[in-house]
Amino acid sequence: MSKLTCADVIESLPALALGALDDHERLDVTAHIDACSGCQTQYRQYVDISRGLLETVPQRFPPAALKRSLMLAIDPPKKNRATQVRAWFTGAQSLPRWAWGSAILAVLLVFSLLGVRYVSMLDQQNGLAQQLHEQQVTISVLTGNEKQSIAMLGTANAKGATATLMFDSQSATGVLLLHDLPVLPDTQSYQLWLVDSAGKRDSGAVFNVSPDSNGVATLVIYAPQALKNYVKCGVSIEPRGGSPKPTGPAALTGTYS
Amino acid sequence: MTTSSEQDLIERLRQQDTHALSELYDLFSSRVYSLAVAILGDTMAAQEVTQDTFMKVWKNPHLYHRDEGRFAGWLLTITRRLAIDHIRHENRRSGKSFSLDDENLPELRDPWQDEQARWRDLKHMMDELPLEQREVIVLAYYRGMSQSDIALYLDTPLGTVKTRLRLGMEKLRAAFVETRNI
Repeated sequence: MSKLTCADVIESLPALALGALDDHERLDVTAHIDACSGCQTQYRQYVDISRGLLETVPQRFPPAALKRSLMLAIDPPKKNRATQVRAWFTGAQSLPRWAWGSAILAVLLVFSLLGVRYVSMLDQQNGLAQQLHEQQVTISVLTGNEKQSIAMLGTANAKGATATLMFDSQSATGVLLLHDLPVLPDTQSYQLWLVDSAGKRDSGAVFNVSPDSNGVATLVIYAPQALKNYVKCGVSIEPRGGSPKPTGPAALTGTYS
Repeated sequence: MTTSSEQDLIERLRQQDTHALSELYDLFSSRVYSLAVAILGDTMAAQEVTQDTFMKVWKNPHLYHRDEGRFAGWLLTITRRLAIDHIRHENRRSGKSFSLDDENLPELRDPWQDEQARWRDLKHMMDELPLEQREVIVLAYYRGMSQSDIALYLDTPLGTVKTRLRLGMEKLRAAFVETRNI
């Protein structure tokens, strides 16, 4: 057993379970645990918690294209097909050089066209998968049993605009329903800010309202912590793409009741 | 295709049945991807880590042993390690270096149905922790930083970081053990 006492080791168990001990400490602590059943029991409890932390993150869905990419990666080309290709290649070696050049150019052209089409289809598919996911989240939030809603009102910069932030009381994911928010010029974006009791502002989303949306939009929000932990929220007008902290005028403001 | 039990799926993976991987992906990809996004904060990198996780399971299904615990726990541990490796790879470019070695940690042992409620409780307990305690736990576990790295990152004495981490985890442990005993 290492020279550390149980009291020393117990202090280090939480950090060990989180993988946060520095190398030199870790070796001493693990050597002690290997030989001490009491510390081992406590360590297992901390490990249970660390494993549980892996399950507590907000739920997201990968794009559908990812599964196809994985399945293609694990399914290598069949051997017999390779043999057939090799036989064809051997026969084709007798063709004149100009025929080879034309054939290669034609193949490159076809592959380029197919590649462009494939990328465009993948983009479309990813977009649809993301839309579907956001619709599922929206339905889940709107129909939840423990939902909370915060009303937001337009300032002088967005007169008549309203919004409602809705979320499940345990979740960091929510839905922002927007009405009559003016369309911004291309150089600007709206940015949602969530303010905690210490005044710290977390960015909740950066978005733009499309001209053909009739001023109505629904947005899924992914906050860094549970949405119930904030005390205020607001939407500001920022440079296109958003800012690390609010810099522009407020468009909507809301306070948790 | 009907959904097989986990153990059946793992047996079929060992026989390199591609349908088994497809079913496994359908069962777990959302949890794997969610964790990768939470750690990396980048959906493109998270997709890469998700694919690498399933590739690793495909190539090494024999590394999972049923007596070590739940399959999902093993899978998520691989995800976390690959995600943190990704962060470290990026960090090495800026001259930093981190270390991690927890591949052989014991797994959770409770049945899945009971665990769903426990994870919700754990999430709630995390939300209830003081911000400074939650912050060091998140940096350690989801960003793969050691206590020394966190001290440097937060410009806070190492002793303070150790105390915050220990107090936070002790609170989680006390509450977690309590819920298990109810």
